[in-house]
Amino acid sequence: MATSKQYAYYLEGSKLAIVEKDVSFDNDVSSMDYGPGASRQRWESPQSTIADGLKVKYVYAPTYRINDADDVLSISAYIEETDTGLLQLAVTTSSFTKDDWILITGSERWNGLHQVNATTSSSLAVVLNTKYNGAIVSEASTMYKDISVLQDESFELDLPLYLQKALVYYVKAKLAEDAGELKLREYAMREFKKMIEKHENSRISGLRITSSGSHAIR
Amino acid sequence: MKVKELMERLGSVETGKIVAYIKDGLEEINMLTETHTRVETFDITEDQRFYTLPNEMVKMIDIRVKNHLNSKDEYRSIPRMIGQPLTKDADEV
Repeated sequence: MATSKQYAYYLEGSKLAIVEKDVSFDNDVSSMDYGPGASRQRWESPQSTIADGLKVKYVYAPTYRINDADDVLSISAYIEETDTGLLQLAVTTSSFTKDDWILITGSERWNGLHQVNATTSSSLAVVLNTKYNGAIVSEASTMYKDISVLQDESFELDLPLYLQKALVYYVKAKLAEDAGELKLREYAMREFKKMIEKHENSRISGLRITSSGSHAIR
Repeated sequence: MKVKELMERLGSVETGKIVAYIKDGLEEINMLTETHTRVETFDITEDQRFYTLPNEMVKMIDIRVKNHLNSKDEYRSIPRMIGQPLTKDADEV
């Protein structure tokens, strides 16, 4: 049976720091920390390795659509392409076309969209336009190959219908701002925010009930 | 709605500019109302304190860790620490 642990997080720059409460009783009489339970109050880096131990839920902007969720490849490692300083991925045998977009998930560093740098045929490696300077890192992650990216007029917006109309107001506001028409900008931005608010409220109906928080006394 | 229809509604033919503003707008909409969420899973490594957040992240909603305050392999939300712990991470990883 797994043992109960206590974690907390803080942010340092763009990184997430995970700390664990050290509950081991290892008082050392020759240490300045000596005292009853002194070490029990200590938050330290994680004390053990846990596979799939951390889940981060986040919001992302839908600037792409996955066309075929089954068209995936496994990535086993990444390395710097020596001549160009670009990111090279070690993948299962596959072909790529220059300027194609791929989506990486499950990586500790490269999650998100990337563009293919050069055409390859039945290759075990693919070079991307992403810059990377560093050593080879073995890391299992997944690549989606069949995706559409927001880059031209043919892209179908992946938003609820009502929010698509709000988006029109947002773009109108930005264009008015460019043209120096600040009254129009303010009007369009107000409409945009009003529509967002109405969309939020449209999802709530009936009675509400509060649930106890994750740290409530049980 | 396709980008083309949105451009017609605005009476614009500047595709690059409109696409850039649409990207800004999609981010703004997701800051205000969460339309697209994703859960990313990481391994917790012994003595590794820092983990890179996804580049595409607009807003973080929740951080859950396995066996936090339970021994049933449940993932539970962990609290944010106010300030930083006294014990520094020795190797800064």
